[in-house]
Formats: sequence, structure tokens, C-alpha cells
Amino acid sequence: MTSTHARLRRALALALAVVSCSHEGPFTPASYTPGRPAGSGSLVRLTFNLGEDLAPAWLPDASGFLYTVERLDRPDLDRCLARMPAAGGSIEREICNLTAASSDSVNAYSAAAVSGAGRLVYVRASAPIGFSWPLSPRRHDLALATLADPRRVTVLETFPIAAPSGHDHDEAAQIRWLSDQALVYLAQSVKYVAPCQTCGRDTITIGVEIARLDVSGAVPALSILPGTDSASSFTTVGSDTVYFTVTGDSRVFRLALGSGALDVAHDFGTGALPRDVQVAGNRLVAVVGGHMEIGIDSVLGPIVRDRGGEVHVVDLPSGVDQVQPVTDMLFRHLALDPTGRILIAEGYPIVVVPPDTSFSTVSDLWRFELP
Amino acid sequence: MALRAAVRRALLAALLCGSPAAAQTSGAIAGRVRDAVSGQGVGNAIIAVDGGRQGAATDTGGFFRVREVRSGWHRVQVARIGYRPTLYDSVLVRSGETVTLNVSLQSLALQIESIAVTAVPDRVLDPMVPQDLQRITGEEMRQLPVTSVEEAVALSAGAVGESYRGGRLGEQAFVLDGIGVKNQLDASTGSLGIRIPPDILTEASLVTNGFSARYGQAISGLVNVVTKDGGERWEGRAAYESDRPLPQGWDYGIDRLVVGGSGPIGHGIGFAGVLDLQGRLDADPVNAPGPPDPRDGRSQNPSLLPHNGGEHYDGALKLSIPLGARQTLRLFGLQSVEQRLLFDPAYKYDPSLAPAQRVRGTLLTGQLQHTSGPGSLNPLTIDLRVGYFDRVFLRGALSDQPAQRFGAFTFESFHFLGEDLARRQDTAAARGALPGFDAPDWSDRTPWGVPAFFLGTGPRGDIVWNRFREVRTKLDATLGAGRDADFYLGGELAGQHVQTFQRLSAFLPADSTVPGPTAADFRPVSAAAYAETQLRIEDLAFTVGLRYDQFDGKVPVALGSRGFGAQRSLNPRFAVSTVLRGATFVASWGRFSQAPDFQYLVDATFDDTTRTGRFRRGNPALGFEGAMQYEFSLRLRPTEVTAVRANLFIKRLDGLVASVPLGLDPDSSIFGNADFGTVKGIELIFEKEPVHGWGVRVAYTFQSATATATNAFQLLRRIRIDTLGDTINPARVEFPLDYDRHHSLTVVGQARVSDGAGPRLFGTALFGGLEAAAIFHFGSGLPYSRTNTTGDTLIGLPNASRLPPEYSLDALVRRPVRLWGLRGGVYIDARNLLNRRNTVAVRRDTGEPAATDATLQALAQAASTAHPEPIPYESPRYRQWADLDGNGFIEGPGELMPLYLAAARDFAQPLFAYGPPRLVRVGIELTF
Repeated sequence: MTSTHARLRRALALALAVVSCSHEGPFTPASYTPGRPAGSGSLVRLTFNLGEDLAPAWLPDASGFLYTVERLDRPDLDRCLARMPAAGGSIEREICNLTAASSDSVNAYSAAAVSGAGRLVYVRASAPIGFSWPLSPRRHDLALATLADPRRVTVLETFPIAAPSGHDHDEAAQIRWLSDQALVYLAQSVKYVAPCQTCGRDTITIGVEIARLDVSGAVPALSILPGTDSASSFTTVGSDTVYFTVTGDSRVFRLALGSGALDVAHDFGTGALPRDVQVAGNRLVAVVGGHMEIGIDSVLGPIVRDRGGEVHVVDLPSGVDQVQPVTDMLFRHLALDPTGRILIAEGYPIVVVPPDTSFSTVSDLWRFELP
Repeated sequence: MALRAAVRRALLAALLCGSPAAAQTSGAIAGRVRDAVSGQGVGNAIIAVDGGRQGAATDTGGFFRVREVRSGWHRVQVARIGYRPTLYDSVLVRSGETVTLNVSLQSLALQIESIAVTAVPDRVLDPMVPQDLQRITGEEMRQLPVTSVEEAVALSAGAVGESYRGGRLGEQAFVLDGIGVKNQLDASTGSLGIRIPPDILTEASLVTNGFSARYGQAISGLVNVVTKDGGERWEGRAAYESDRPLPQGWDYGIDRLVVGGSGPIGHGIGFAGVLDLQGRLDADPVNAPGPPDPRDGRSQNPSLLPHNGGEHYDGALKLSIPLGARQTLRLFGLQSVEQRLLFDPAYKYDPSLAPAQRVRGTLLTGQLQHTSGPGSLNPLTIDLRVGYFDRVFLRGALSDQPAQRFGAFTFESFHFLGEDLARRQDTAAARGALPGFDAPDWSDRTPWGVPAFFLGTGPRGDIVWNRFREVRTKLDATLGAGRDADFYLGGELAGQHVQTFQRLSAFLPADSTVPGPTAADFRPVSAAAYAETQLRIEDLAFTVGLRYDQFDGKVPVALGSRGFGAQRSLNPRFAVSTVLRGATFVASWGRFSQAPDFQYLVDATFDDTTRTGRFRRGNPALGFEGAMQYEFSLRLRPTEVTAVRANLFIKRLDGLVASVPLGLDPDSSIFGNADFGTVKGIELIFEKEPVHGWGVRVAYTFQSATATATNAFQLLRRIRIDTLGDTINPARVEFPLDYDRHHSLTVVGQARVSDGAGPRLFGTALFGGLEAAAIFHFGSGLPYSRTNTTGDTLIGLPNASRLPPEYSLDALVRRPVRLWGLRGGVYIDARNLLNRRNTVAVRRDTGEPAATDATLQALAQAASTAHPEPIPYESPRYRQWADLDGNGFIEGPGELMPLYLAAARDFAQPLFAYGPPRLVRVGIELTF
């Protein structure tokens, strides 16, 4: 009996030994990208795309950020949402409308924001090929989806709309989630202006107000944040506080949504025109100065042309304002990560060809590592 | 002289005894009963087979014949009042052959012990077998390096894979226990869908000529399979084989587990059951050279192709139930599931988007057999068979990648995108873009990055589903009229159900540029009747048969239409055989026909390849495909253990389906019975039976197979317009068929070391009982067509060029061992032992497997021209090693072209131009 058991054990061990040998598997595709940004230091260029790279927005977990990338490699010049890791490197994912049916139009996704629960909201626009984007977008939606399945979309708004405030909202920008059920956006007025009689038309966007959209119900409920007339930029901190700037004003305002209290968080001083404000902890960043024109058109009303400016970093408790020392570039549309240490911004090179100085209209993304 | 006399006597005895040559699942036992003392024939002796279930009585001369004895081992008792009964415990009957059993009965008064006699049939010289029948038993399959019935049958002379005597694929029928099984939907392009586990086989054989009028559905060959009945004692086998222990380069991810057994389960009921599971991480391995560029992903492991795994699950059960004294009911069930991941070179770096397929086949058969008992003057056997066959095919993109849990085994059913829609044949819902399908785009996951050649983002968007079901009822009657004549009568009726669905580019809605979904649903009916007789007149034996076939596709050609009615075919068959100076000579002639694949009756074709385009107009009026074959066979037995066979044949093919141009539009064509051809050749077979420790079989074939089109999707290229100018007829020009192999040679050798032979270690003979078998195969090159570089113009005639010859050597070595007190063995099974790199395909433009540098340069240049845009640093396409100036862009021809060139070289690797590599597996088995 013992002998039989021993033989059985030996045989079983032998069989298990054979079976436990694992097979060699076929190759699996590796990552062939650099996996890190092209440079190092406190200011790093993240993108080299010859098209525009716009409107970075951090993911809630700060693992990366979304931005809009212009696809010059596609005949229809679509603009897609791209996800890049926080440290930079290669695009990890793109959200595009690549269906063959859409190849006859420019399809643009922009102003993306992701909630803590993974809800994704973005602006979805399209126009026929041949129009000089973004002139006259044919379709312009505020789309709600999830990051996991961004193409299963619910349309929250189709612009333009007439807001309860009486203002027209031509489009939405700078979208932020207050919670998983509510979001805020900067309502903008869009104007197409020719600087001169022989010039092509520019697309001029001007902040109108900050709108709040409750998406908890079947029908989104739109309301306007009080005191945000002519807001030019905003950001949120938590679900109750909104910081915003106003066109032509040097101050950054702070609005407590719960109480409705409005105060000045920081004043950049006379003549300064802050915009693209961001706040994380005690740190406030904004674009100030640079090349910004504010004028009044006899027909269209106020006109703002913003080519970008300097990046100011403000310590809110002390009010100390530091300028990031970059001389050959202007910045717009900042995205400060939740720690307040990493700042992503659109960068526009200043092109100096004496005696003229011009400002690039094509942006790349840059990464600031703040002290 | 003595040998020649013995052979002559044996031939005469066989001739007198006759045989059931028409029967493919059964043989006969025949001979003469004599008085042991006087030598006179003993009349009225009773020959009882298997306890009297079958039998016969001797005539006044002592001759007897028991017909329709099932292939396998049987117990035969010979009894006569006044004589001591004689029992033969193990008489082996093989299908289509007659066992000669000459018995000498001892008078009871002599009190002599009966002597056990082993009956030995002379299966070579039996003149009553007009067929060219090449057989392999289940036991031989276990001893040879073959895994499946298809591999075993492919050892036969005249077989090139699953093409027989140069025919196209699908010109054969599969006969399982007497009932035909065929994938009538797309036999020429698809698999049968079921696989018989070799462990449940008694034997498998290939008949390539003059097969009985009992069988239709084929014009090139019959693959005849006989399954085993549960015997009187339990026996079984469990085996596991794998290449897991082998090092990289030898490990192709093979696992196979076989468990089977048979025996009695009480009340005389016999049971047999087998489960055969096979998994391969690379189910279609190729012996292609490794990639030239070390950055190529496959360079890490060039042996295995990604996303190319497969798994088979085959299970079979059989019950043999005696019903009374004369009836036997046999129930058989088989289910096979094959799931394959399909490697698509375009999805090499996004394999999860590559296609997959699943084929599920189910076969249920029942056979009720009635036999007249021993003593019948005119023994009658009646077989009623009913079979249900169901084959479901599905190919498309997987909705999720299955986890491989053990080797390639997933132990779950694949899930496909759009599968439910396909099953419902919902063409209305399928007109829109289907959920889950993303449009494919150039992959950015390749080592080269550039947007060319390789796809990602989404699958190709094809869904192909079809289902073929059939209920077939067959009635056969065999009547013995004395010892000189047999009559066979019968018929069959089959009701079929064909369903198809196809959707292409499912990521797009159907419109003017995207073909809409297609579906077909129709129920053909097939019927047949036959009569055949075998007569013996002196030294001559005649087989005369007539078979009538008809089918009605019942394709709904238009609303309210009654279709085209039934197609009919009459097929006479004739053979004469005789003995000529120690040899047997057979001359046979027959006409054979088969219904065309039903896929050609409807517009949507499926399971096609990109070679020919997917669309041909279906033709519901298609008729039978036919063949007329003339053959002369000569069989010799130079010694008692050697045999030589020579077959000379000419076969005229006609009415084969081809694509016939409609008008002058080159893209407009319809399927028609327009192809005809000729196959002629000679087969030489030498056998030395495995006695004295070794045996060998050599089969050589020389043949020529030509036709006007090589497959149904090929346009009849050579046309002529008649004198009136309004009719296009195929020209009388024939080209080599795809399987026209001029020379093929197969050598099968077997040897066994006696138990105590060889050196001993610790008292054990190291090589005692060692069994070895080897198969050497040589084949001259198959034909192919040369084209210009764009592939749209033939250079020369179709199939005018030849691939290089190929050869391989397979071997199996088994050493018996005892484990757990059970008999068993360990074995090594090696295929293509020499690792010969056989070329099985070439580029049609160059005639070589690999693309030329100029071709690669042109491919790269075209791709680069389509996408000259710079690749920025953050792009997933950016490859730092290609950014020569380090400016954050890959730009300009200097940086982009090397990437495009490397991508072209990667994509154009001639993987499937080469046959399988050396495949070695080690196995362990236990038998009881």
C-alpha cells in the first residue's frame, strides 16, 4: 500500500512538473515611445505638434491631463482630445471622431473636463472642410459622456442659447465640474472680425458670464453665477468656491457659491489684466500682461484680442506675486495641478524679426515645475 | 511454385466466396466448412457471428458467406450436429474486405480439442473488391505520427492534403458508419466542422475510384470512417502530450488531452466514448525566417505568431444496443468545437483587433440493423440510418479577448461583435453602423510608428455567419442470392436548411459605397436511390450499379417564384475483375456527381478570401458537378508479406462551378456549371506488412490534373464568342488545377524492438518493446499563376508556374512503461523532424516568397507620399532613434523613409509562404 502510494505520489509529481512548465508565448507589442518629455528642468516643452495644442485640463487624480490637439496628419484637420501623462511624454490616448462618415467635415473636441466619477464633458463642434476653422462651426454641442466611453454622448446644450440672464451664449469654454452632478462653464460670445478691409476674419471670443449647469436630472438646469458679468476666466476650488477674472479688471474675484459672498482674492494692480486664473491650495496663477488688446467695435461692441501673457504665481496669504522668467514666449490657458506644483500652459513664441515683432498663433504645451 | 499455387488457391477461394464490395462500413466472412477426416464439404453447418446476431448456413458444398459484418473484431462459431463446435474468438473484419475462414470440423467421436485459428484475409488479391481502398486502423493511427483522421487519410496515394486525385477541395464526401456527412454549404472553402477523435475509430479509409453506388455527394473520393462498438470488456486510454518542457524555438504551445474508453454497460449494451482536447498557442505555425530587423516585435520570439492560437474540443459517444435476436440499434453523437484566433499581418501590433472564428459541428446518428439469422438461404440485411448534422460557422471581431487559462485553452465560448444580429439574420438592423465597431486606422503601436501598412483602432468590420443543418435518412438492403450474387438496394432522403449572413465594414452604415448586409435562408431537399449487384461467373467478377441523385435548392429567387425545380443526375458504375497469373486485375468505369456547394446558389458568397473578390451573382439554377472515371488496377503479392498495387486512371470532370463573365464588365459574373477538366495518373503502392519487427508502405503517384478554372471563384479567363457573336463559351483550354501535384511519394515505416532485446540497465531492457514509426513525404511543386507587379494582369497562362518541391520527415518513438500498475507508454512525436523550410506559396509578381527590394521601396515610397507630415515628439508614432537631428520631429525623407521602409519590410514578411516547422511533443499514456 505504501509502495503504491509512493509510486502514485512520484507519478503525480512528475505529471505536475510537466504541466507546470509554462509555454513560451508569442511576442506582445511593446511601447516604442520615449516615455518622457523631450527636455528637463523647470520649463519643458511637452508638445511639438505643428498644429495647435490647446486648453489643457487636469484629470481629477492628476495622473495626466486632457488637451485639444489639431491633427494636421488628417485631411479633415480634426481636433481631438488627447491624454498626456502628468510628466509629459507621449500621448496615451486620443478621443476623436474618426468614422469615415465624418471625414467630410472638421470635427473638433475641446474644453474637456473630467469629474471625479469619470464623467467627461466637452465641446463638440463640426464644420465643413474648407471653412477656416473655427469660423462658422456648423454644429456646436456641449457633450456629456464618460471617459471610458467618450462616444456615447448625451448632448447637454446645443449652442447658441439664450441664457436666463438675457445674454446669448455662443459657446462654452473653461468647463469645470463642481461635483458629479453639476458643472460650470464660461459662457462666451463669439465674433468674427476682420482687422482690416483686406484681412481675413479673426474669431474673437469674449467672456459673457459664468454659467452653472445641473445635470442631475433628465433635463439640464442652467443658471448663472451672480456677479460674473464679463468674466474672462474662472476656476473652481472644491464644490463651493469659484475664482474668476473680469475683462478689463486687475482683480481676481472669489465667489462662495453657498453663501453668495463675493470678495477679491488678489489684485494685480492698476493696468494689469489678469486672465486664465487657476488656484490650488494657497497658490494662484494667472496670465497677466503680454499682448492683449481691448477695443470697442462700432457694430460688434467690445473686442478682445489676447495673444497671451506672462505667467504670474501668487501666494494668496501673503499676496507675493512672482513672474515666471520666460522672455521669448507668451502663455495662455493655464492648468494648475491639484498640488499647485505643476502648471501646463499654451505657449506662443514671440517671433522677433527686426524691426517687427509678431506673435505666433500656433501653440504648443509647456510644463512649468513651480517652486 | 508452392507460393504461386497457394496464391492461386486463395484467389480462387476468395472469388468463389465473394465479398460485399459495395459496403464501406462492413466486410464479410466467407469460406468453406469441411469434414476434418474426409475433406468433404459439410452442408447445413451454422456460422454464428457474435452469438448468432448474424450468420449463415453452408450450402451442400460447405461454402458459406456472412455479409454485412461490421468492421472490427468478432466471435465466430461454426456448428453442425454430429461435429464438435469450433469457436474463433477474434476474427478481424475490415470494411470492404472478405475474411476467408476455412474450417475443418472434427467429428464428436474423435474427441479432439478444437484449435483456435486466426483468420487472415488476403485483402490485396481479393478480386471482389474493385475499389482503390487505402485504409488505416485506429491502432495504426496511434502508432504513427498523425493526430487526426485527415492527416491519416492524407498518407494515401493520390491525396494532396484534402484534395484527392487532383480534385478541388470539397469534391470528397465523409461517410461515417455508412451515412454520408458533408458540409454541403461551402465544402470547397470551409471545413467539415466535425472531427472524429481517432480513439473512437476502428478504421478510416480513402476510396478514390469506383466507390459503391450506395454513396454519392462526391466526385473525387470517399473518406470512410468506422467507429468502434463497445466490446465485451472494458478498455480505454488516457494520454497527455505537450511541448511544454521543450526550450524556446521548439515550444509552440501544444497541449492535447485524450481520454476514452469502451466496454459493456449491462444488458448487452456496448458503450464507447472519447474526449479529445487540443490547444495550440500557434495553431498554424510557419517555418518562416526570423524578421530581419531586430526592432521587429517578432524578433524576440520568431517561432510563434501572435493572436494565432486555437483550441479544439471533440467529444464522441456511442451506444450499441441489441434489440431482440436480430436487431441492433447504434446511437452515435459527436460534437466538435474549434475556436481560432486568426493572425492578420495588418494587426500584428494590435492583435486584439484581429479576427477570430468559431466552427461548431454536431452529428447525431442512429442505425437500426436487422439481419437474417444463421441458416438463412438468402440472407438479408437491412440498415435504417438517420443522421442529423449541424454546422455553424462564425468569423468576425471578438468583443473581448478570451483569457487563455491553460496553454491555448480558454474553456469558454468566444464572443463576437454583432453575433446576435448575425444569428437573427437581421439585415434591417444591420444596415447602420454596428455598435462596438470602430473604424480601423493606421496603428501607432508599431516599432516604426509611421501611418502605413498596420492597422489599429478598430477591426476590419466583417461578420460572416452561416449555418447548415441536415436530416438524412438512409435505407440499405443487402440480399445474398446464393454464393454467386449479391444485391444492394436502397435510397436516401435529406432535408437541409441553409442560413447565411454577411456584413462588411460594419463600422460604416450601408450606403452606395458600403455593401449592405446579405442573408439567405432556404431549405434544399436531396434524394437518391441506387441498385447494385455483384456477380461471379467463373474467374470473373462483375459489379454493376446505378445511382440516381437529385436535389432541389429551393432558393427563393423572387417573391412568389417557385424556383428552378429539381436537378437530376444518373450515375452508372461498372467494374470487372479477374485473376491473371497470380495477380488481380480490375477495370472499372463510373460516373459520379455531387450537388454544388449551396453557397453558389445565392448572391452572397462567404468564407472567401481576398484573392478573388467577394461578390459573384448566385445561380439558383446550378446543376450537378460530375466526373467520369476510367481505371485499371493491378494487384500483386510477390511474397506472403508484400504487396504491390498499380492503378492507372483517367477522370473527366465536367460541370464544375466557375465564375462566368456576364457581358463585358469584368466585375460582373455569375456562378455556372461551366468548368471542365481532366485528371489522369498512375498510383503505385508497395506494402511490406509489419512482420518480423518491421513494415513499410511506399506510395508513389504521378498525375496531371487540369481544368478550365481552378476554383469556383476564378473567372473563366479564356473565352470565345460563337459565330453569332451573342454567346460566350469557355474555350477548350485547360490549366493545371491548384492541387495538380505531378509527383508525390509517401513512405511509411514502422519497426518494433522485441521486449527483451537490446542492452539492459538494472535488469531492464532499455529498448525493449520500443516502437518507432516514420513518415517521409515528398511532393513536387504545386502550380501558381504569375502576375505583373500590380497583380491585375496574368503573366503567361493560369497556374503555369510551379512552386519548389517539398518534403518532410515525421517520426514517432514510443517506449512502453508501466505506471500505477497499468500499461502505458511515453512517446515523442516529431513532425518535420528535419525542420525543412518548405515553400508553400510565393508572391505572384516575383515567384519568390519575399518581396524584392524594389517592391519594398515602392511600397514605402507610396506610403510615405500618402503621409509626408512630420511626426512630433509627443505623438505615439514618434520613435526617438529615427529623429536623427533630435529636434523633436521626425520629418523629411531622411528621417521618415527609413521608418516606412522598415514598416514595409515588416509587413511584407512572407510568413505564410512557408509550411510548418519542426513540431515536437512528448506524451504519456495509460491504457487499460
